[in-house]
Amino acid sequence: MRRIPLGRHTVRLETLDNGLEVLILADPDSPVTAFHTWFKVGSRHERPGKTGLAHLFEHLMFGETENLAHGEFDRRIESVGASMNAATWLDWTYYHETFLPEHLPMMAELEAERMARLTLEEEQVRREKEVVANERRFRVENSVEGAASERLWKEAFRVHPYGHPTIGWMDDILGFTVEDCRTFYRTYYAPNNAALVVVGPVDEGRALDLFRRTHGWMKPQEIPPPPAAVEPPQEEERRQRLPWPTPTRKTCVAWRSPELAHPDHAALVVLAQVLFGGRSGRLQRRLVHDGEIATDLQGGPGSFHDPSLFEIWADLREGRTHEEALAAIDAELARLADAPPEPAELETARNQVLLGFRSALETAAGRADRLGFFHVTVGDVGAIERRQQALLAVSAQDVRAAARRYLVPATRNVLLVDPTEAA
Amino acid sequence: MDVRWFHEPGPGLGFVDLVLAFDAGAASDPEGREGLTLLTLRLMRCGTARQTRAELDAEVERLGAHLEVGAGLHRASIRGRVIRENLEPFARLMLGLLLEPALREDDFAQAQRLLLAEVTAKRDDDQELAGRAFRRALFGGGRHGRPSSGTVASLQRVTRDDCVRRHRELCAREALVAAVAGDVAEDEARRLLLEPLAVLPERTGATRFDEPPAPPRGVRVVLVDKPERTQAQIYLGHLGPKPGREHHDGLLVSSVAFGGTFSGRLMQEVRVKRGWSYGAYSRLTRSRTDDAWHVWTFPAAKDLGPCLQLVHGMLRDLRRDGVTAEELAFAQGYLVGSSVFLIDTPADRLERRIEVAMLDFPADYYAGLRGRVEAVTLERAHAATGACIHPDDLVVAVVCTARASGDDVRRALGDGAVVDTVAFDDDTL
Repeated sequence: MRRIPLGRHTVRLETLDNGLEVLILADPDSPVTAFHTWFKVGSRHERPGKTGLAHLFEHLMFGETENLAHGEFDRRIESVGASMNAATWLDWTYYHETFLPEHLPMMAELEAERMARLTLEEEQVRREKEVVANERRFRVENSVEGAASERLWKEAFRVHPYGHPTIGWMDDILGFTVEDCRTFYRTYYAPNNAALVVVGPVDEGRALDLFRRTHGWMKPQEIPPPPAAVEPPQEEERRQRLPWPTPTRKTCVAWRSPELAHPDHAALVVLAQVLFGGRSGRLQRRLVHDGEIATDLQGGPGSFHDPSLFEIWADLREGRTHEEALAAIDAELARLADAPPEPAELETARNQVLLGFRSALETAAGRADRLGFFHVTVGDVGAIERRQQALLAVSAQDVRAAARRYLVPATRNVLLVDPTEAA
Repeated sequence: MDVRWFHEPGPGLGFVDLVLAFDAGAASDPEGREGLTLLTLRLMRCGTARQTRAELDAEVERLGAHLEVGAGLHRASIRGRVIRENLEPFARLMLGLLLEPALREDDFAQAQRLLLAEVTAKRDDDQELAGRAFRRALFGGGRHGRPSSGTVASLQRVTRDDCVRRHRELCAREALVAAVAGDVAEDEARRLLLEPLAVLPERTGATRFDEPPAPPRGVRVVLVDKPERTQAQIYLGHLGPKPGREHHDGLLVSSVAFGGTFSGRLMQEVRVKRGWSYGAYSRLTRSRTDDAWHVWTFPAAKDLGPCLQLVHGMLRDLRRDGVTAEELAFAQGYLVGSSVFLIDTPADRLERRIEVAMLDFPADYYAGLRGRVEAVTLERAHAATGACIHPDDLVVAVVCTARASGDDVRRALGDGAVVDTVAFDDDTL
């Protein structure tokens, strides 16, 4: 058992005999309880030809089980007004419910039921593949941001599985068989590949007893390692163009950036605040508010288990060009590489870190989210507090060094979206 | 009448939310100058006589704060969140935007250009386009269907002088709500945000809130034509009763049973049984006046016709038969249990109190919601759907590629449907 501080709370971490990890944050003042089940499997664990399986499987987890007819899982949870959903991303999949505290036993039983006794049949898989195909149409095929992001990551990662989309390529989605899904379930949905997180007005001992009863009987399994794929260094600029029915151009630029646990990650987060933060960030002013080149600007490093991308997305104004946007970006990056940020910029970044950290812990669901995410991505809940300290300790020289090390023009990925004639 | 004041404590949070909200929104923008209220707020956000826009932006962020302005249909606001340590300077800064904004000509021109660019950029979002087309058609192009950001043409008509006048209208105690939630005691919050507002005049002219006009009869379809769509976005519906009006509670519960959850009838038929769309929901909008009751779904282009036909048929069933006893009990359980999320955090509780005060909801609307939901009988639910669901008087907005999908829509909704087509970049949307 470990106890880990988190803001004004303490988190208890226990590992059951079968390897299932349990994180409990008892907060007597919370009017609701948040219950999350995190699995250490995401699209990073998929292979070419089988992309999107982790995400499709997330959908299937809302289906029939040995003891629950189709639709019964959702109906029981929603009948008591609980909010529920799930998400799959590069490194993980998680399922979450938030509800009135008296319903925790029911939620734990329902989650255990689908974790161990899901039934997977042909018709159900066929229907859900169609739903996921529609989700892909929604998020990618009919969304300029989705389509651009997918192409950018595919070009940046030619070897590592981060290069394929979590939702999967359409042909892969439509090609999955029931057996693919059963194999995935048997392989990854094991107690020693999962973590339960509960935040709310719970008694720690009673919650642990509950989880031992609902989940403690499950058998651990051997979990295969993710594909051992190391992306070779990128030594040239990779540039693509994407025609799209959109009224304005979009300029996307991305560089390789380190993993979340890397010591340089914090410096890149502060660097992102200096460039893109609020309205006073250097590039916000230059591109949006003073230069009037873009309508919207976002950017920052990915927060993943493996090295990912530091991205910039600029939604340009009518008549403004990619060349103008790229010149502004290059100029501000060169400035940051030449001279460290001003003390006032660092003070801004630190105060924004504090606001972000405290806001993220506002609700029970928010706290459960932070706990599960850091536990699964970094392997340590204590990293939440340490990360805040690391962010607050980033120096001006750290920011300058990160800009020089990572945001090198010659190794960037560029994707330029241009309005099609019909638009 | 004095400034309305609300405080919700949240000790230990480490931050504070501050709200200055105004009884004014897009519905009260003058004809032809839609977007005026939002543009005025944006201009107020550009600093005071002692502080340029850039200086203000830098100061807000240095304090560890976020500061946003916004305008809805019936209200507008300045909202901020700040770390507890910097509450006092941030409250002063926020008050300055209301009490002594610079309203400079060059800031106006810049804010206007940015808002114009944002209006254009919104055309990338198919769901947004469908929602805008739906409301515009539902309210016959009138004030209730306006987007708060206006159109390119209406924004271009707005002048700085219009904004100066609008700002003066906003500066009245009777039109204002001041509210604070979070890590601050009420005495301190009053001193920082409420007491300085005493300098404002009591009133500068009441804003009128008219009920919307009668909706169009028959089935009216707006096809928003966008190239290369492999998926359609559909909004379909009509008016529904506002809080406090007859059938509001019955329709609220019935709507949740019909399409308010994953287990609802709509989601089961459209997504679970047929796999046609990732989502299918129905919703009754709570507003100061009667507002939309609508269904939202987004099938693949190939399934657009059958999906529309199915949903239209389901509305006929809902009007004729209502919800079942089992569906009613489920929806009541859902609404009662989920009502805790309306008051989960101090910021949530504050928002509910502001809504009740500014949107003229019955004083016990949220406090009494549980009891009213539980009191809805099957008979009352049926009466609500019978009176409020109108499958033959329906507004339907569909974003699709008209050449490829237009005929599917016409066939699905029958010969009586009146179909108009607008381009996705049409400025009237």
